[in-house]
Amino acid sequence: MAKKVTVADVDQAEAALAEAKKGKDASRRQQAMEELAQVRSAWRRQEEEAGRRVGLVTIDSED
Amino acid sequence: MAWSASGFFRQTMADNLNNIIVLNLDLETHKVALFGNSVTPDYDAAASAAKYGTGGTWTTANEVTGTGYTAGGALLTSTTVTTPSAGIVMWDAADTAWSSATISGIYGCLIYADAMTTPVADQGILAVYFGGTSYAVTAGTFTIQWSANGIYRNTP
Repeated sequence: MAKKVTVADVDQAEAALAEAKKGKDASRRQQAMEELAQVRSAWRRQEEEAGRRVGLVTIDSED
Repeated sequence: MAWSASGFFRQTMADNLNNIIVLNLDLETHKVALFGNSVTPDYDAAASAAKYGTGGTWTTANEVTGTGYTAGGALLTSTTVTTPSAGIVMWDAADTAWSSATISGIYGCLIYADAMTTPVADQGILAVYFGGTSYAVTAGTFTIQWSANGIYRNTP
């Protein structure tokens, strides 16, 4: 069973990205972005499945 | 006419690919502005018309007003540009919220490059149609909950 993602996990990843964006290390910045995107998407999916999120706003380039 | 679809402004994309503009989507200076149902998005518009403010459809006259909302909108924060799976490039950000707000008649939003000044200031990037519902909030928080799949994704 997948580990439950919490708001604190998202907050932590956002803080890590904010720190990474202050620096000039492009790979660290990209890694922080990938980690945040992963945890944020997992949290949003979890919330959507639980019926706690009603928004679903995405533009796909195929549209 | 009114809203009927979301979209990416094609001239913005073309200008970026042609190096006429530098559109860095991981900046945290882009803004989200809320609009009513008077706008008729034209995703094929010239760059000068696909912008926030005078010159196109995205004018303050068409923007929502209300307590807790400042014209021009809110910053898009914690922005990420990532490659979550094969062939996918995803642009995402933290959910965008207006607290202690009383706003009505919200039909969609414009995301624009607030820090861009040339060749067109406040160049529109994309607009999101909220599906035809007139959203409102009274003395509460209005939140745009971006999708788990991000704000925008480029797929093969």
